[in-house]
Amino acid sequence: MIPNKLVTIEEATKHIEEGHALMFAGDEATLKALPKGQWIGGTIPYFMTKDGGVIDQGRLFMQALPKTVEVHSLRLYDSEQIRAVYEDGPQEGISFIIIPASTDAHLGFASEAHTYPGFLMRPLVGWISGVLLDDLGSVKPGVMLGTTQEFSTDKAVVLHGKTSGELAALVDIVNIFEQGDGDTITFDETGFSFTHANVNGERVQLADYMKAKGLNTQLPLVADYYGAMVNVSFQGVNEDTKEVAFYAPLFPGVEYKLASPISDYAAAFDSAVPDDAGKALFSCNCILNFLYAELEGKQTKDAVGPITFGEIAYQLLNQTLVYVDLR
Amino acid sequence: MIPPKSDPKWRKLLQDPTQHQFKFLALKFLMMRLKLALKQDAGPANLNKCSDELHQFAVQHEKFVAADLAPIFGLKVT
Repeated sequence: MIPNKLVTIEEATKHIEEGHALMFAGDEATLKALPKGQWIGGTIPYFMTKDGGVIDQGRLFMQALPKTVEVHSLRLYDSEQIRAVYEDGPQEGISFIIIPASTDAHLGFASEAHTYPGFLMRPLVGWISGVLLDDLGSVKPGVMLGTTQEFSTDKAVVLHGKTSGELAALVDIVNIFEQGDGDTITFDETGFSFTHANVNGERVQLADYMKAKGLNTQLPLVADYYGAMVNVSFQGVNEDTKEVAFYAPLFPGVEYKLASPISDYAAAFDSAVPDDAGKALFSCNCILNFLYAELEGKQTKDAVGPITFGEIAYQLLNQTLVYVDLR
Repeated sequence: MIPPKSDPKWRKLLQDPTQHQFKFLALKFLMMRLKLALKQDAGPANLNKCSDELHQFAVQHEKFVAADLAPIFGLKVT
């Protein structure tokens, strides 16, 4: 199996021309320099490598499918077509998706994936593409379909893979955050931003509540999904409108709590990431973990991959490490 | 071998207030979704629909759910 790692354009080109099925993460210019082939790509300049977290706009992170996963299809999906993403995959397989941040495809997938036909029936993993943080607002994140070299800033790109024999893809997550002991927060509707929430059953103005409590917004809200901790990360507060924005939607009927504080992020990852993470077929981690945990130069055991603007393990996640094994 | 969908333990699992310690991520996500759906509508028709969905999921993912469901259904896991 070709190891997942940072490669030069020349190295990537060689692997493409050899006919391997590949996934790339890198700067737009590096993706556009690649030849046609069986690959998909997304923009991001942040990566976790075996030597630690790095920022690199000259190289690409390459994740290669093993021979036991054949390409079933590769395509782009707009915000309407994406509803078919689970059903389009083969019966036995694994699909990889990359979606540009802040697009209709991203926001629609985040809010409605659980209503798409086939949700959870077939494994889907992937990430939200982004840009260098200094370029936010001036450069658009994008994705690329390698078979046609089409670069898109508003569509998702997907590689549907078929597993062979007895092998099946096992998708799992590492979330270092747990629900704290504080207030229970709920929301009356699905949304990415709110002026109000219910705190322990009482309606409050969310921004005022956060200020009064001195909430640490580097900690996400955490929901307990039958034992799986699912984060929703704070994006910011608009002081004029008092709207509190998040990096993922909040859903009605779900009880959220602020996460318990973490004193040593790197140590928390070290103890939570499985020892055999280096064997993962695919892995990605969140840009917020990279920033808040100061992961530049630090390792997360052998879990390597792009550092992204959102992670996907069946659905959108925040501040979470996602990985896939074949079992 | 996944029990047939007629097994009442499927409905019992969905109605059980105890949260079982499952390992398979997709099963946890599915249980959350079905329990939320039942919170909205606990009627027999919806319960049957959710139970059928859980069963179909278990059949599709037998390899990964068998260990999680073994103590509930008394399954033998190889």
